[in-house]
Amino acid sequence: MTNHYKIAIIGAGPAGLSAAGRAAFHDQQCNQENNQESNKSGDTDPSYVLLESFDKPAKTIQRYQKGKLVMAEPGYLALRSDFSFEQASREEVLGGWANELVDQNVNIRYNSEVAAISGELGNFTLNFKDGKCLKADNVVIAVGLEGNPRKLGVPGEDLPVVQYTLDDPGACNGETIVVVGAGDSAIENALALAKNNQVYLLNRRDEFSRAKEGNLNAVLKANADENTTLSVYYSTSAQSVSDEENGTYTMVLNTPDGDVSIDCHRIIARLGGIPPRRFVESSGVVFPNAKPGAIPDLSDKYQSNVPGVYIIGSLAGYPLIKQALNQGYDVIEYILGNTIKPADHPLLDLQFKLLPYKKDVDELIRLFQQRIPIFKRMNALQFRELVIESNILVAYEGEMYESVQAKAVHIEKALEKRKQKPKYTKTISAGDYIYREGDYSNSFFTIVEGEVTVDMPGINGQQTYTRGQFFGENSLLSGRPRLGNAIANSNCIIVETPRRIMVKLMNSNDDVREGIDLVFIVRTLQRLFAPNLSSDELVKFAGAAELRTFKPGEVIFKEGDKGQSLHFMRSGSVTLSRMTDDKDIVVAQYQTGKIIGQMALMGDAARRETATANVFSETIELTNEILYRILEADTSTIESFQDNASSSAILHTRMEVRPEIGSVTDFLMDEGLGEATNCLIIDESLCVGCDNCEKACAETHGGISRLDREAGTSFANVHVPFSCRHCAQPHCMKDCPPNAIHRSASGEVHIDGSCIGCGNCETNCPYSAIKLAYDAPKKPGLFAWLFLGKGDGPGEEAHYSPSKEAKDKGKKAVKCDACMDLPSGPACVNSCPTGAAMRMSPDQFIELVEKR
Amino acid sequence: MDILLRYVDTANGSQSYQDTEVKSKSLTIGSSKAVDIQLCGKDIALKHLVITASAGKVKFECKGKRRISLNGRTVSKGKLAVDDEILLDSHIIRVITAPAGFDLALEIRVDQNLQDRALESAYVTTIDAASWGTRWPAYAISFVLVVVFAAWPLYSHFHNTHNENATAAESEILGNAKSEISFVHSGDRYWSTGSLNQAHQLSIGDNCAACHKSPFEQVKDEACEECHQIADHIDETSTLISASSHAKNSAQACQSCHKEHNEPTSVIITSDMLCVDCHAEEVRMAGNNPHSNAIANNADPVIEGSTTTTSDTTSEIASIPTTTGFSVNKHPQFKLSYLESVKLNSSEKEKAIVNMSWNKQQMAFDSAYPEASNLKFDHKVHFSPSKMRTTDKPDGMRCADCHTLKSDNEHFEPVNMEEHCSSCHQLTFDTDNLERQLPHGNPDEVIRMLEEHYVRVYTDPNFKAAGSGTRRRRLGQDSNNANCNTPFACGMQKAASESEAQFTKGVCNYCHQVSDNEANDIYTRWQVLPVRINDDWYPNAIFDHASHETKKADSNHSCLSCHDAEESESSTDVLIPGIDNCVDCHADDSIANKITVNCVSCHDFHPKMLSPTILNTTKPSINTIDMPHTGKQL
Amino acid sequence: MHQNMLDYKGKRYFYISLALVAVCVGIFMSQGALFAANGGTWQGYVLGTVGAGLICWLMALGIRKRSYASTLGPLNGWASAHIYLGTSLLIIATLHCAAQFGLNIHTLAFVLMTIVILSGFYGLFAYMRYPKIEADNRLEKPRSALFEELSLLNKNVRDLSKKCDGQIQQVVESAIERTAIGGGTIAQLFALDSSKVVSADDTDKASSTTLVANYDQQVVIDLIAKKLPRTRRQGQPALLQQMLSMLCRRQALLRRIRRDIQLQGFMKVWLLFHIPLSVALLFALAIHILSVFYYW
Repeated sequence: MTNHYKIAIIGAGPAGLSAAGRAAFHDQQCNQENNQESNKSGDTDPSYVLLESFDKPAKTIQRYQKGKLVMAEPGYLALRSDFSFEQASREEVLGGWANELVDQNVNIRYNSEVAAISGELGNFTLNFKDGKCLKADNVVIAVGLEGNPRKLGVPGEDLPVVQYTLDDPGACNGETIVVVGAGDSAIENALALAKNNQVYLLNRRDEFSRAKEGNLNAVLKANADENTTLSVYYSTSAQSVSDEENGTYTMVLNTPDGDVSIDCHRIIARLGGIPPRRFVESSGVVFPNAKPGAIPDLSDKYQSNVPGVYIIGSLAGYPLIKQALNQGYDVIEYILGNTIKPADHPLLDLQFKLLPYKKDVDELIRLFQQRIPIFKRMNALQFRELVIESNILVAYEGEMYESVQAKAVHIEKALEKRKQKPKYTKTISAGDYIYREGDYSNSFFTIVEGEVTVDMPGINGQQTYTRGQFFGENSLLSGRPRLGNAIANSNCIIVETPRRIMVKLMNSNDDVREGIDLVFIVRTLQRLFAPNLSSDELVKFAGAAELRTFKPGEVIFKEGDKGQSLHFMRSGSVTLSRMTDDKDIVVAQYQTGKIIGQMALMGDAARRETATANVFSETIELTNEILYRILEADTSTIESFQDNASSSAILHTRMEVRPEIGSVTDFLMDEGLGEATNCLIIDESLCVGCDNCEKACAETHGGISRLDREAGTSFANVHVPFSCRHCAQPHCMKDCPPNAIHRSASGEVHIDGSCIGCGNCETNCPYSAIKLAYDAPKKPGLFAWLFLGKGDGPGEEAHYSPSKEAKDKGKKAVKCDACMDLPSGPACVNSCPTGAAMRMSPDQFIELVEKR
Repeated sequence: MDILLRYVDTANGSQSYQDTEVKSKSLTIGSSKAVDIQLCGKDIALKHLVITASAGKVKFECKGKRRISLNGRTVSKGKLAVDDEILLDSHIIRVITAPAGFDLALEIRVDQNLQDRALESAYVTTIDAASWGTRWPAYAISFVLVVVFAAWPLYSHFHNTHNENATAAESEILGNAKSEISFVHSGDRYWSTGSLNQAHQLSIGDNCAACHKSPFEQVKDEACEECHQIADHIDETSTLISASSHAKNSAQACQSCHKEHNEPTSVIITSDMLCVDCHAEEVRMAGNNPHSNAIANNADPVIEGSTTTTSDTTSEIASIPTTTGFSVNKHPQFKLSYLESVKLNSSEKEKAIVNMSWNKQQMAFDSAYPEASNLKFDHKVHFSPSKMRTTDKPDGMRCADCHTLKSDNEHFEPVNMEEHCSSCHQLTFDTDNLERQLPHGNPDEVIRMLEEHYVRVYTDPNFKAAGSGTRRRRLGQDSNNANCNTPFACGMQKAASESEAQFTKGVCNYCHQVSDNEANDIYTRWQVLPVRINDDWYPNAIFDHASHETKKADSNHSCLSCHDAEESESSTDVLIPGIDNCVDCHADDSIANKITVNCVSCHDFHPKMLSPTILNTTKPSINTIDMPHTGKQL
Repeated sequence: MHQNMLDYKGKRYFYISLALVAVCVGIFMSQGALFAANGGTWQGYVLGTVGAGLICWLMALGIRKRSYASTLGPLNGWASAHIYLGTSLLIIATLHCAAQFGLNIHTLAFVLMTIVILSGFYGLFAYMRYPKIEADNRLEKPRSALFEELSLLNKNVRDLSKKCDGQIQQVVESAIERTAIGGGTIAQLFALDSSKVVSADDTDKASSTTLVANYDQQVVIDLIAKKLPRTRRQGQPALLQQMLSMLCRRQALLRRIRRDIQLQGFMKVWLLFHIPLSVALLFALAIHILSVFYYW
């Protein structure tokens, strides 16, 4: 058989499979043609090969835990592939694909890991780990991001006792299990197993640096508690694994204090994957930057800078299975020279439907990208993605608006029947608000056409932003409510991009991030110090301003230091403390949007306080020189600036003379309330423990309480129970696969129906404010209980047993939504008889603590 | 039964078993220390479920509302077979094949974390868990309340109203009525809102039905009239009621004034509101006046043929002026009721006797209308010592010498000649013999006596009037009776002239009005007009003289303080004081430092007792109580 | 910031109740023209209706408290109004009956009402006073934390005792086993301690079953202390010392727990009277109204 293929597809993930399927389909067709013309039967050799390093296809999905529901997001995107796919359990999906692999007799090679790619278009050479090699005209890289699991790298690493995945923690009972690794997956497995097994967790380093906060706390707690059957070996590595004759296995570890050997039933290596990047780069593909999330530049046909090398799937920046499948299909068509419209074409078409242009989708896409400088250097595919995810707003006037609205209604009707509605052009009438002061939206706006007027507080006169400019970056970066109102002028076209997408983009694309940061600084300077200076003038100052980030507990400046700069807080929260007779006394606590250390500017050289970040915080540091120059250029703000300084001076001193207040503030900050926007605070001196708050929560939220009054910590009769604080930049939102967590305009962070119960938010929330739960069964009515004692009465039913439907639906994440859709406001507060429960924002803390 | 409990400990790696045997007919599982298998957990009850084995069948049953999950299903009771798995919180109990000699073997996997965290569940640490809670006590108490205070009273009332004879009997016998109501049937006594008037308590006792005849209806007058004889303030026929608003109408029901169960208000109310609420505005009467019956009833039967002519009385008191209290301007001026003598123009001339009748007539107090009693009397004289020097009362007379109070303490016994006057005023006529006196009260007798006297004077030869030295006169010797030729004629002549003297100038005329019709027959010539002294000036009011009599020593003073008789020289003077006199000391309670009088202190609401005859005809009933309500009683 | 039930919205409901009472007194004063003040005059009826209305409204708190999505204002405000209007009810009801009492359902209703209100006063007192004390007693930890600590101590004490001689082991074991916490209402309210322990004297004999009171764990502590200087076995003193300190910690912890249960009890117990009696009151009230109009 020949060893030269037209197409070599590396990686049998969704993308690879789909590509192979498509290739197989084309082979079959030309076979039939051949058969027709020359009646000799028998197939020609396949023109392609699918190379898989693992012994099964789709190993990433194989690694999902047992029975996990595989989502078919995004619902509005049509599937186009020879491999079927819809929302189903992990087993069903994999089973389906396995069958289809056979039916379409795809030419797949297992256990053949490609080590390197060399050559050029028409003549690539693929070398395997095992020394073999093959040739191909085109190479499709679909290896995804997970890469191959890192092996133990010790003798015996291939023994059956060693496994790199864990299907079902529940399946192991009473075993001794060694888990190797310090990542989240390792910790999660270890914790899950520790319930019924003796578990040893090996960490090569002396701390869990890579772990999510949630997992970190959990494992440390478990390790500290001698009752749990989990014990951690720090700075310990595996030495060897050997099987005893009695069927068990022995693992030898070398710990700081000598070797230890454990008889174990199971070894689970969770050492992460070897990132494919190096391998990809080996083929000459160039990445824009050194960030792990970076995505190689690709043409809109998935072709990399190396002709003939195509990259699809998550490696190309498409983490979702359906997208990958579609791309597999597309890429083969492109390689074979067939021009087809990409699967997302209809979506873009909808997005542009109501624009006043007569251009076709691809032109428009190009137009958009040219028009918007910061998006210029994105790769075309990413930009398509961005547009699909964004809202396209267009503002019309008068009867024009009416007519367009009419069209919109039609489209709405047409889309009605679709399961999940795709986005289409949003029409607004000129003069409408795009956002209002104080809205909690945090999307990002770029102007393609026309003008937008924004009135910033502190700046007299309205700002007008025009084509190519962007706005709304403040909320995007700080997570705080909107500053000022944005009003659409007539015929303006705006792209509104969700925060999620922007964050992803900024992480992968330096230009975008820097561009946004610069403008942010300029506008901040303008707002705070120099309303009369034009942005162009400010840009040169802005360059000198430094953007700094601080980890929790990190010191921004120390008392007594010589202060040459002030900090504008872009995000996070900071406490100021003074050292008075050897006691650190908290004198103030500032959130995003405040200025600290301005006294340095007022000639008082030495810092009077020590500033410490409570949570991850970003500040813009301005050295005195720049500030002086700015203030020279524009003297209008000096007055207010000084007043502000003196008032804070008063506050600090007042707090200093009452240390007990400071200690309460300190406590609140330690509880992480610095990043809260709306947190439940219980006054223990009023709380009688009736738990009516919990009952209220459960009763107003389908029988499941989102708050745990008794849990949580207290200090000076201030009790911070387990309940959501609706963080400024919610941790839970970080990685939510179906993007089910939203922040409402009024600030509540809530989970919508599309939750898949993956539990990421639960682990990501540092405040255990989220839990996974089955729907609670219906309870007898209030009066049935009140008068007849039916049921357990109001509140979360003790150990309810979920109904069949609930079980099928599976556990879903539940969290406080601050009763956003109750007119009565938060039920917990509304139902507290003694007035002990209150919801407040950090601005009220001063009031709260001063009362004590 | 013999039970094998195998505790599985997966804590440190390899599973370790710990077997224990239990010999008992049932196996209890819960969080308390007292059960066979102690499994702690927030939702595990002290005694959560019991496992029993009978005839090889193993059954389990949860306590109360508790549930367990058996092979994933939530159940409260059922059977257990080998390999069944019970999940309690996060503890697992599996049924395993029992080794020989055991009826049942259980493999227990205790979730040690939970076991430690949930230690609290091993104890009773909340009041709710320790007490009965609040629901059933609430219902229990309420039930008792309803039975004792609603059901029982209702039953009692039903019973008491539905067998008549029982209640009848009770109402028949005064006083011991209480004993008639058995305890069982007196549940409604707990509905009483206050104690009864003692008399009522005595006669009715706990028989509420005696007055409360039908539910949700105010007590009707009939109920009162079963016992009480009531002459109403206003008789039903009187137009006042029909004319008056419903409010006023109902105001005439007993209820409106007499409230029982209502301490401290006594059954009879003295408040002026009683009257003032109606009389605050002037009450006009078409037809006869409400008080007239009262007057009629009071009419003194002594007067023959007296009839009250409604015409003029009505005109006098057709309307009762506004009355809002007792003071000069709150209360209308008093009205005196005069006795007016009326000469009847007699048709039969031959019997020329002046016939008279007396009419009561109300006159405004200040009308200065003279009293016409046909008596000539001068109070002043009788009081002045100078004039009385010769009598046995040298320092003047006292009121009480002639006026003695009747038993009603209001009116006075009539004054009469024999008792009060004759001791001083003798009816002598012949200065020659003063021991002879004329009889009083009978004119014919007077004339007859004169004739007898003088005939004897002229005829009896040895008649000699005591103290006179004159001898018997010869005929024709006397100048004045020259024309008499016989002593008899002279005697008669003299008698006639004396009579004229006595009637027109003499003793009669001294006190009495005498009419002279110039008749030849001296027997029919003169008539002494009958004397009628008014003894009831204020028939519609009550006045207690006794309570006003201060300083008994010389009661003159106390009388004269109101009646100024000392200055009165003529009997036409009316010596009855008016309101101005009362208000010196008295006023209604709205005015301070005066002696309070209520309407009912002087006025009856209910008229005085009807005469027994009427009584008996209206209501022959032994237990009738007559209750004249007068101010005195209050 | 946090407002307790009395201060709610600047004592708003205090002034409202005050006004209400003033009006009612006014109405009451207008009586007595014809009849003495009494429930039966029109003023009496008015006051009675006001009172009955109040009672029904006060009872409605039980329902409002549990209608969690209610838009009728925060429960805190209701509680505040409940307290002040409840207090005013005492006056209004007295005005209604014009202080006429007797052996009848009417007075019974009044008495019930008074008890309910008085128990309410106690409840208010408890709610105002105990939460802080309780929180401080718990060292601002949840009760469950105390019990976790206890079970941990139990465990450690047990483990230690395994190293000691049989007698100590038996006594300590029984002491832990027979530790009494909470119990009946009385036991909880008075923080009674009916803990027992196997008497140390006859534990030498194989079968020792006689239990002696172990109030405040003192007996077992004394035993260990007694043993401490007398033990011969080597290493024992250190062990006993450790045991002793743990038992003392345990003792302290048990005190806290009992105190916590007691304080919780103080805050709960009054409801055992307040609620049933107010329900009874409702019935009494109904009967009262029925009876006065039945026998009108």
